[in-house]
Amino acid sequence: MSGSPEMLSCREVVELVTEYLEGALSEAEEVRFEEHLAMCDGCAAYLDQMRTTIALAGRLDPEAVDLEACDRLMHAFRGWKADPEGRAE
Amino acid sequence: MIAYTFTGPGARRPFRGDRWPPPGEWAAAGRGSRVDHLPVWIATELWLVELEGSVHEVATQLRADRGRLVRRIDAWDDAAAGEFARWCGRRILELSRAADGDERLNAFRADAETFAAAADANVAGWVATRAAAAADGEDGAARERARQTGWLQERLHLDPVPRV
Repeated sequence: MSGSPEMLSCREVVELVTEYLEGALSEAEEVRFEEHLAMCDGCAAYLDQMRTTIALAGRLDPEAVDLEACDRLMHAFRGWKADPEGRAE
Repeated sequence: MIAYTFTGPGARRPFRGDRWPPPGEWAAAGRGSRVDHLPVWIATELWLVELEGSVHEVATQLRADRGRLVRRIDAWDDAAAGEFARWCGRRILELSRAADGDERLNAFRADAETFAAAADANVAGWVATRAAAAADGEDGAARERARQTGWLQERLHLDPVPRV
């Protein structure tokens, strides 16, 4: 057995990471996802970062963010959405 | 059933971001593989794992409701992983030389000699498999993975059906 002939690309892994973490992929999709992670240190690190981000963000109380920081974040998010290349300022 | 499972350093469960509990203690969502799928999952440590509850196979992976580590296979260490990576590198060169002039295989040749480190073992196996696919199609890829399984079985003295 050679593993999946059609290995997921890094881009596909990035697109699927949220569904993977939410357990929304089928078992076959999960295995293909994990086969890619087994050989791709970059995507494995990305998954770890996403998991850490979710854990930290989940503990963040909205009132703990000061207004100035909140304004900067909202500005960055709006600019990101407006920029077709997806770059935040 | 008893199967094999690769983990990160310190029995870190790949992809889950946590560690297996100490050997003998059950954990939810047991994962493992048969010996012939081991090359797909190569990582730092190799263990025997006991899987229990709704054990089923999805492509290259065995899945179960729970699993527990049984014992580590010490023969799989950095030295063995480095040997495997270099063996795959040589195999890539063989495949590319046999099809001299094939641009797809020439592209693999450039990378082949860089596979020397233990950390390269999984990628080296995958690249050798894709080089074999470029030379002989997916049947060639399957044969290449079988060769890699054979290398692991012989070098690590693995039983096809693992025993405790």
